[in-house]
Amino acid sequence: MILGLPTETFLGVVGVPLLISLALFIWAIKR
Amino acid sequence: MTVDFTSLIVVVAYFLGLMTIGVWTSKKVKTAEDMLVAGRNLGFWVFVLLIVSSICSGMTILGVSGLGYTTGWPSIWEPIFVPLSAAVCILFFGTKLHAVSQKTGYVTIQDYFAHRYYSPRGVRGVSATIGILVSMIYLVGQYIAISIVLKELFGIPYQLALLTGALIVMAYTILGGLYAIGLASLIQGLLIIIGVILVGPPVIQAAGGLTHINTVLATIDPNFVQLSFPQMHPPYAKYAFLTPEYLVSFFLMLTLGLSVAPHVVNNILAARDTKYFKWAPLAAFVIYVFIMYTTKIIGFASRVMVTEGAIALPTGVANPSDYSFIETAKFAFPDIFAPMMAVIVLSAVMSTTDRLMLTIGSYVSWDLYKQFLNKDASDKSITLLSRVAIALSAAITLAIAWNYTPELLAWLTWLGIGIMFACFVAPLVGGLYWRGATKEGAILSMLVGLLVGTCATYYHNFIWKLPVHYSICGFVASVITLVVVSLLTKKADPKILDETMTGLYINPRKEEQSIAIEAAQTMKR
Repeated sequence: MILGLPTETFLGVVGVPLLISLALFIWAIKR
Repeated sequence: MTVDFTSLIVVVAYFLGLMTIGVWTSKKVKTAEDMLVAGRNLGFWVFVLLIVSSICSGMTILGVSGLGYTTGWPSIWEPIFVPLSAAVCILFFGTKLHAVSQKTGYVTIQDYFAHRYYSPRGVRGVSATIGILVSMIYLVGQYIAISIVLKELFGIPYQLALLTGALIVMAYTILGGLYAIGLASLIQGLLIIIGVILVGPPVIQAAGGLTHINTVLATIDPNFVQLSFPQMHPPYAKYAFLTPEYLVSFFLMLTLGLSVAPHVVNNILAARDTKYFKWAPLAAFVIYVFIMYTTKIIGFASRVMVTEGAIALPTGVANPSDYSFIETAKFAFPDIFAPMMAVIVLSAVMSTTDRLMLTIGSYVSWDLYKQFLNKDASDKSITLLSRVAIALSAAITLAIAWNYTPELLAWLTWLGIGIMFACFVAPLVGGLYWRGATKEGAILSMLVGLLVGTCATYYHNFIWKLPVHYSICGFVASVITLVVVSLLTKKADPKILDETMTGLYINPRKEEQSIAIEAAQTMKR
């Protein structure tokens, strides 16, 4: 449990936007 | 409820600020291009906030929080999918469309369709007509949030609130066109960001902190702290519809549907510089995720506070959860909350409403009048007609919304997104990335998408509930139509495909750009 959320929920909630941001960041510096 | 004096001053000051923008920017409007695409002169942050605030409507704020209240964490996908639509629009459509439009001078997305599908009237007429239709539906849906806010916070009667909000937006949009909308978006976007920063932490605090919120949510239903509800149809409860299967259709509809929305995708043509398209997808995504995550968590906090009896949602309305954002914020800021809340939600509503009105104005004047009725229309008459069409769109949608209760209109927003999703994704993605897409395929895919999308909406709402979001039927039908009809009809002239940079790449490389420039120059000769 992290902040009252099951660990996998927490990882999904935080991880997905971070991964998308990382992909968009890579797009920006690679162009 | 009485209207207190300070609240009134804050809201009136906000309205006056918008009118000042309208008057000031009206001096910059000299041509139809100034009116409709801000002279293609919007800077980076105005462009980013224009895209975000065009998508971010009043129901984005109230509805996102409301869905969080009703369904818990499985709805956290909504504040990921919607911001992603801004990034998809800028990156996958914007990069190429902007590069082409710099050579060709497109004013609306229909100019691109007419060029790419070598169809000055057919594709343009169908696309513009459907675009006007969905923008009208969406516009009526926007008015609910205006009235919920002004009625709930200041006790202003529904119809008076409706009239005030719509007239202000109409006035500055008519005055300054996209120049006014761009500048207003900058201010409205900042107000929304500052607003959620101010409201979020105290609300989470008032509900007992994040850990407490999640612990209470898990006691209401253990699935409230999961990433989805278990896959079953029909769901075990009315609120448990966000199953993995449903979420896939939700993703496609929100991310693709909003990215091709007429009031969003046309903003691409107004950016000053192609270089913006590097960092704009990331900037728009991060800003929007921040706004929507905070709004969503306010919905969770609201559920906990209602469960523990700290606040109560209004009874006797069909959509009490849509009031959760306001009621919760009211509790966290007893006195000073009202004007602040009003300005946040009004900023979200108006920044979408203004862009919808201008979209209708530009489609009527630039696409329908100029192409079908008066080929030689002067620049002045197009600008004038776009202003008349904006006023008409406001009048017609006000008349439709006038006699309805707000909750009856809430589902219109979903219908609007569903139709955009079913009609515009196939021809735009096919047009930009598939050299095989033909004129006949594009026209039929839009018409089939509209027909199947409308039928599926009726079927889902009145006959049998589907296990996925009903708009997916129209989308699938539209994609199949585009592919099958394109394969059966005569291919496009390769020269046109080169001019419009059609092909399976995002970034036009040097040689593709030079081919496009050359082709455009021979076309001019």
